Amino acid sequence: MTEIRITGGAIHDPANEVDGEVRDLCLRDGRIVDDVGAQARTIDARGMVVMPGGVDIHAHIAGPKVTAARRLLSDDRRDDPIDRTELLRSGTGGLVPSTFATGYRYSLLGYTTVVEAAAPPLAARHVLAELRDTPMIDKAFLILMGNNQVLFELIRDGSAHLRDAIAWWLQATGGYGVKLVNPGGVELFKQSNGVIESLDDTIAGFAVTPRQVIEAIGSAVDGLGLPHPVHVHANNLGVAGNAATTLDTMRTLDGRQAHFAHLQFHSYGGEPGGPMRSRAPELLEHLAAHPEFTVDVGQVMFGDAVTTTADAHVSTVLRDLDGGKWLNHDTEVETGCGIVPYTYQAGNYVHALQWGIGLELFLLGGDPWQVMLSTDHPNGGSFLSYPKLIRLLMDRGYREDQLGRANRRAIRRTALLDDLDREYTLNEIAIITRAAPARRLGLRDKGHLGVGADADVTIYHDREDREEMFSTPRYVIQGGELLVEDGDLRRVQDGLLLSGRAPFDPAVAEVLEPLFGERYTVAFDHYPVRDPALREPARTVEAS
Amino acid sequence: MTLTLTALTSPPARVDLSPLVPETTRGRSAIEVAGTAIRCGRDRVGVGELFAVSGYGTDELVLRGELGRIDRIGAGMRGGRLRVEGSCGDHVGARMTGGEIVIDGDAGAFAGAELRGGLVRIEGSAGASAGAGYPGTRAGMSGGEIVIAGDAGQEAGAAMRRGLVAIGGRAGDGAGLRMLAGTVIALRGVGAEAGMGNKRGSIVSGRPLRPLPGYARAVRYRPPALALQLRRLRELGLEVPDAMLTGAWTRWAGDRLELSRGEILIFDEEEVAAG
Repeated sequence: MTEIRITGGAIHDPANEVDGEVRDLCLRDGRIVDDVGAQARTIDARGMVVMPGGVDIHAHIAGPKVTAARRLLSDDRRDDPIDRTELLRSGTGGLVPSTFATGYRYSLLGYTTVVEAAAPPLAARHVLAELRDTPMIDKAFLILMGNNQVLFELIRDGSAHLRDAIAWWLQATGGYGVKLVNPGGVELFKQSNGVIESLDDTIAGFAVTPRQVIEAIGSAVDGLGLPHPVHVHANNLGVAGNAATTLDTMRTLDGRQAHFAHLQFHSYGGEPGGPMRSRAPELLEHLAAHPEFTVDVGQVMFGDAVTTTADAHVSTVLRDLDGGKWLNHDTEVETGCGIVPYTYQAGNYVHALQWGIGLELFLLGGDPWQVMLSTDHPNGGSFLSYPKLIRLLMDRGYREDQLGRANRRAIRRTALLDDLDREYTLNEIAIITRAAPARRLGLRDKGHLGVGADADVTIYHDREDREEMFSTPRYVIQGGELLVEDGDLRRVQDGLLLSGRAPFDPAVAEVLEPLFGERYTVAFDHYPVRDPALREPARTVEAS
Repeated sequence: MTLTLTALTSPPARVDLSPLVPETTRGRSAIEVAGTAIRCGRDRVGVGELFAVSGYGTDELVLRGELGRIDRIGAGMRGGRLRVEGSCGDHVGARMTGGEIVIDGDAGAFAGAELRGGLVRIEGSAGASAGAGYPGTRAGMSGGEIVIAGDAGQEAGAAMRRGLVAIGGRAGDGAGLRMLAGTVIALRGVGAEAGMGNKRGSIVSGRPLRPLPGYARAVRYRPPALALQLRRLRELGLEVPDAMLTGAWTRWAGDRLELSRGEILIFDEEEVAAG
């Protein structure tokens, strides 16, 4: 029985409305408790900041596209080798670390839960195997359903089985929630190199529109009561003028719970092919009027990144811009995938504008419970750049210094020069990096420090340099065990696989099997992941 | 006395000697150097377990003995002089940015791979991928010179962007594969499929060669720039026949798949016989 008493730290637990109160925090057997015995290990946290463990609602850490990115970036990875030690497995770091390194580095950063935001259901075994090899963190994955031909058929026919089919798919894969990526658009690209111009375009061969897909799947997920609502990567990512599409997508889902991913990439004004401008304020306004919606920002950070996306069309556009190595891959029936290494440059108009729009989304008065931190790792930058992003949000002087380095013409097109003096408080940072993501994921035991919560706790030195503070937590505790002390990993353990589940009518298999037979090269019976070892150790979060 | 490492025995696994370069050994005693940790297979061992160390660290470092399993000698080196008395393992001088490495014997694979600057001289032969980019790298060698007195293995200078790979003997198949620019010279000829995917690089073959179909015969001439480069090779100790300095070369332009901006120059022996 492990008991820990953390004494004298300033507790930042916004989910329980605790803002810097200095008091003890007690942990026993992986849970937060009222009190522990005198024999409990004591951690002296005087002068330190105590928060729940970080929760990353949107990152790409496992699955075939991540493996492909690793293979493509051999030159980046070999510069960052990680030695085997008595405790740790060897690996490589860089923008897309190897599985073990991903777990270690998230843990060293004070994160305890990470969501892989785009997994092809067909590749669930691969995703599960990699997640099982990603130690330390608790993890979940969202399955891609926005370009699934079988679902298109159910939607077109107005099938009453759609909801059951989605629940079946989650059960078959061990996924946590449902992701839509460029709904309909990836299929259109795969068929004919086409792009979506309006949500009412017809997807050839299926007689459905992106709007129907968004509405049907969004409603089905909402109706199922899954712990996490539909997670939307809207159409036309990265295209000038795409804010109109984003707003249209939001209106399509009005009244239903939804999370919009990496909103920064979807907040552009202007005309397709022409110069971009920011429409972040309008989107924030819409968001403020719709508490049923949340977003993560998908901030871009200047420097190297690698775009790793199921939105195969986007990667062909980036390939033409970049001219370097790239990869595009099809997953039959379900989705696509593209990888392009990419560098965001401060002096580049578009990159600086993207950077500025991300900061606008954070700083223009949005509710932090609705606007969460992400860089869409590794698309906008590595998760290792989160501390720098936190400093940009908390330290106005530093932000202005960085603004001075960015393309002036681009920054003038944002609201960042309008005396934007907002500085995030520690509690607001705790909201956007743990409390809000956990709440949005429906993880009732995470993202807060109330009695009964998971004993996932990160303790930071309260340093003036917030980047340094959030880069190297003093202690990281997960499941009640001390994993990190003073920037060193002290213990390695497997994190939990988090799966979402909703009841469904098993008769849906009779509807799906013939549709599978017509389209997949994989037999229906072989499709579900049955190997229990791939799903352990697990925690299932039931629909409510 | 110059810091000298003499291999005591053949190590149980391949050794990464990159932590020992003149920059890191300068000013250090033999005992200090012997205590430096290096990687041997999956383990870390002290230099002293594998080498007898003598002398004192200066700008020069000498390695002796059986070094066939010692890899990454001088890798990442930024300056100074490193002499290998004998043959060595793979990746010698890989990604070095300055200084000079001289190997009296043969070098393994990836000698001078992704070189940034400086000089790697190999008195014997080099293995595969001398001066090449590592798999996954678009732009490999970006500067410096690699001089190989003997032969080179396959894919010498693959993916190079700048610099010179000069081979006194013969280059294996696939020389200058995917090269972006820079020069590969092989005085005794290059193997099959030289310059596949070459963008703007120059491949120089001192022996007849049938280029890939992606190359078109352009001209027969006496290229002055090549004569300058060949004189430089003489300075670096390669035996360049006079005829190559004065004789005619046939220029083939290619690879056509990459817009034919690269070239293969082939020495015209008939001209020599006639001359």
